[in-house]
Amino acid sequence: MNRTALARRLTGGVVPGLLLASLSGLASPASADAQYMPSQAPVPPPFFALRNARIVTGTGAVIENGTVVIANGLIEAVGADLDIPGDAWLIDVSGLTVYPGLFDGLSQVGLEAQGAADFGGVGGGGGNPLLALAQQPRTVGPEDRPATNSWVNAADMLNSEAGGIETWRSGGFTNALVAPDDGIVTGQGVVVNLAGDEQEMVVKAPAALRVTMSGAGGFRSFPGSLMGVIAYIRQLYLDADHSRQYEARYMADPSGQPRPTYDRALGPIQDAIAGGWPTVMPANEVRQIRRAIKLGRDTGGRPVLQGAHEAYGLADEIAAAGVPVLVDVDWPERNREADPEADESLASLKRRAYAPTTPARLEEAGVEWAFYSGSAGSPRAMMEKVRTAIEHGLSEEAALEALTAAPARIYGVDEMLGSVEAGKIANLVVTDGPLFDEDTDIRMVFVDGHRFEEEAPEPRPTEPPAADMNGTWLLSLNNDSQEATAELEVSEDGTISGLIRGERGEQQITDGWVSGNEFSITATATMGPGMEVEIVYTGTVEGDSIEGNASFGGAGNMDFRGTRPGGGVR
Amino acid sequence: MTRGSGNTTKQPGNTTDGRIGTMLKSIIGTAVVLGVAGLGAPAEAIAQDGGTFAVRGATIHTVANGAIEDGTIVLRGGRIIAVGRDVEIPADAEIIDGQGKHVFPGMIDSFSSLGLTEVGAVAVTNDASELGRWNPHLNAHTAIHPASEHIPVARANGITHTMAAPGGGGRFGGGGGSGIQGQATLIHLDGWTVEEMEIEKTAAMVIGWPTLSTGFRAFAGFAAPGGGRSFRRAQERFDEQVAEMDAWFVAADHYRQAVASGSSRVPRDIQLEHLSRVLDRGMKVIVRANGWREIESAIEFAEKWNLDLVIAGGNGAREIAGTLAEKNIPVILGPVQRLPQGDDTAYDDPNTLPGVLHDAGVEIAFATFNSSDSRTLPYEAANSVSWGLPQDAALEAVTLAPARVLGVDDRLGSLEVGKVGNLIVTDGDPLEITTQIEWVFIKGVPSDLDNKHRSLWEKYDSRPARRVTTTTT
Repeated sequence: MNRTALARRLTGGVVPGLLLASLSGLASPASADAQYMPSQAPVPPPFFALRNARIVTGTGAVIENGTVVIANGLIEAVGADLDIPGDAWLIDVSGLTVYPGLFDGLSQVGLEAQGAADFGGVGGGGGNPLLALAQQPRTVGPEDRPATNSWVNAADMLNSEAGGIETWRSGGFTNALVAPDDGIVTGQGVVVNLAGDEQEMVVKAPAALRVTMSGAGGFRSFPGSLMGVIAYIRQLYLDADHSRQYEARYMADPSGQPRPTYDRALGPIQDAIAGGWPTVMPANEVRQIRRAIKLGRDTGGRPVLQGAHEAYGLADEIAAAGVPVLVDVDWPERNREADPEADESLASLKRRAYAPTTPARLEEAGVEWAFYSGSAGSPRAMMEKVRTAIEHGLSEEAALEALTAAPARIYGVDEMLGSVEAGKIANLVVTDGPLFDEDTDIRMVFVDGHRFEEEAPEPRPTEPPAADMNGTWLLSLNNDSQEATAELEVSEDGTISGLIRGERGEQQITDGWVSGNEFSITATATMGPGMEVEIVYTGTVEGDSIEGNASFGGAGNMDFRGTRPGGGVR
Repeated sequence: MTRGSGNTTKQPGNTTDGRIGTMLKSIIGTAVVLGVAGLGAPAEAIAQDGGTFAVRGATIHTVANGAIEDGTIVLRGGRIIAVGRDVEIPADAEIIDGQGKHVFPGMIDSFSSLGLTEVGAVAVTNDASELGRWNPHLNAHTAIHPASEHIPVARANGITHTMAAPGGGGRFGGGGGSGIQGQATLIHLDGWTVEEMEIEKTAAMVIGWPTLSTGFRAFAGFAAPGGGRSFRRAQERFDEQVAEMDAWFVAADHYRQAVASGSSRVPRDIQLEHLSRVLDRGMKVIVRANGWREIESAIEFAEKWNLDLVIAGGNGAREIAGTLAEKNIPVILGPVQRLPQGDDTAYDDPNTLPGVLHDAGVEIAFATFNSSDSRTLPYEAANSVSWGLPQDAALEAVTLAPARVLGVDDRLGSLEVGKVGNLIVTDGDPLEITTQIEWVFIKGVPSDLDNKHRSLWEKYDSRPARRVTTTTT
């Protein structure tokens, strides 16, 4: 890893800091200061040894009290009795467990440009949807290659400073398959490491092709219906094959033949067929699953099913088809905004009840499958939903495999990733307990042999509360530029629960305590689809006023003050 | 260079003693010829052949062993070979009559940018600062400009040595800020080349400690509403920067271990290579820190890494004087001729600081942290005397104490037999602004006391009498 990349990694907090400042209409001189002269992290010799580790290798073996030797970004040796090379820096991980780094089977983390319109393609269009639609060229047939972004490569869209990278990495995720999100053919997916600069992040590019059934978008564009989309996809593959054959014939003897027309959309499709690229297709419902298997087969692609919430009943069929599956961990839930008295359809009740059993059914049937984050916006949320699958019968071994070795196999990187074995990339996660336990914390993460340390959680102080914090507080943030209301309930032991209503919606309090006159409240805000931000309010309370600092998931800080107009509610 | 100079009397070295004057010229001539011929004869050799000198009948302030009235000091081969009342003067010695004169050790400016900064406002003459915050591999030695105009000015005022230190990167190239600023070099102030001037090529690693501050600097027109960041935020930022520093030390320790293991696959890293030299007290570490909390944090860090710590700056050191004394951590102070820092800080806070530290048992050394002001070093000490620092302690704080702080007291800092012949001959106390320095000996050889201040004085002192012209209209 070069120094610039490290420097950027270290100052990663600055950019979100500025973002936050610009949100609140202020530039932060402190951040500007840090930006002026970027810092530079030291590059220690790339040799480490994790000693006294419990090593869950991910190959089924567990080594109690073992050692992992890392050299030049790779795992050099793993075992119980190893000679540790003298140049390795010893890291004692007594009491901790080493797992292979986790792998998110499909994600958008680290992708900068959302919306293929940015690449001059058709379809999608972030920002103002009406404007995007108005700007779209009208497509009338397959020859217009509607929303076909097969030539877009996620490796070219990476932004190593994107905020999500650090969040997912500190949650134990060292890898992801990232793929563009817009279009019928969204583009080429890439296996990335979640650290380093844009070049260093790429492990395999391209590693997959992604197809959706989304339609071209727009008011009057082809294809506007599902049947049109399916017909178009078939046509696209036929065109790709025809073009390949014609080009070969033309190149053999160009004289007297019309030259083939250049078409940037077809090359990657030809490569995908020839190279057997996994082709990720949406397949949540039964008929989508069957359709994707058939479409994949007919077009000569290698389909990978994405979603699979109704796959619980089709496990054997999928196994027989030999098609791998990416399971969306974002299990269906009842709409929070729904009328509590409204009847729900049997289908949705059924899906809610059975979707989390899909992993267990796939495990039983011997299907090759992996988890992906879907709309679970944070690693914490994702692990919670994996736990739900475990509660519904999935074995922990299979759950680990679906987060490590299985996605590595699906994307053809299993010789580099997915287990703690000599010769593989040193992507590791070190925990203070079993990976799937709710109370387990991540203590270190290694990506490409570079160590990222997570702070050990501080024990919660337990002095008796000096003030009763029950009630509704009016908060004023960032020098009165923003307001929020906090409805707090405090139990006898000082645990705080409740919710905070800010200008950008509700924040659920997930953790909180008051001890003496100090308090800490952790709340989760949903900033957008799949974007959860953890906000930690820490401060002091005195009577009917509080003050302190709110930290936005590592992206910045704001000071706040608060008063309780109604006084304490007892 | 606008303040008045105390060195405008005629210098005996140039005019009164023909033999010494000639010899001085011949030494200089030899050095030049050798330099041109590329023989690279070490300066040490020249100095050792530089002859024998004796100052007879002077008051000799040894600093180490009190003052000797009507004493004699003999220099030969660059060293002090005799000091005392009844000293036999070798027959071949050049004798300086010390009647009514005083002899002191040459003064040491413990932290300056002499030879590194010529004109502060002219960027191309500034070699003290490097961009970037982590520069352990830089050595001020490589940047010393022996022909700096400030060097003869300082020398003529009795400064014979200095530790020239890099000023650190700069957010606007102006020095300061937290980070590893580079290696400081200890030189004497009379030489044609830096090799000739070298005492310790690497005297110390200079580190700028992060500051714990809630104040905002205005930047690009943005000022912070409400006056600054919260203390919580400032503390976080401080802790982050200390952790950043720690990461460099971890990496250096790792590097040292990896290299020591004989491993052939360790990529060479000159930053870590140089930084690892400070571990386990292998090199002095001078930490620039002013507030007591910053100093405390630096002490904790130094204990963690077993560093040979010296604090430089130390404006707020009085708050933890006891700790500094107990842990034997010296403080390079200065400049103390400055304004108090806070609105409500006592008016005499900078002035009384040296005395307070001395009384608490802290080893102090004065420094100017400057190049053009290096000549004012004695007045840093002098000023402190009127605010409670004992006079002998003040003298020691510009001579023997700096030598101890920089680890060269076996050679420099006092007038004792065996030490290098660095001394000044004066008509009074060198801390007194009216005192004239008449002779400066560096490595046993008299130095030229001519300098830019003097030539300017001569120029304007000898200008023609004002012509009276009558104009008619």
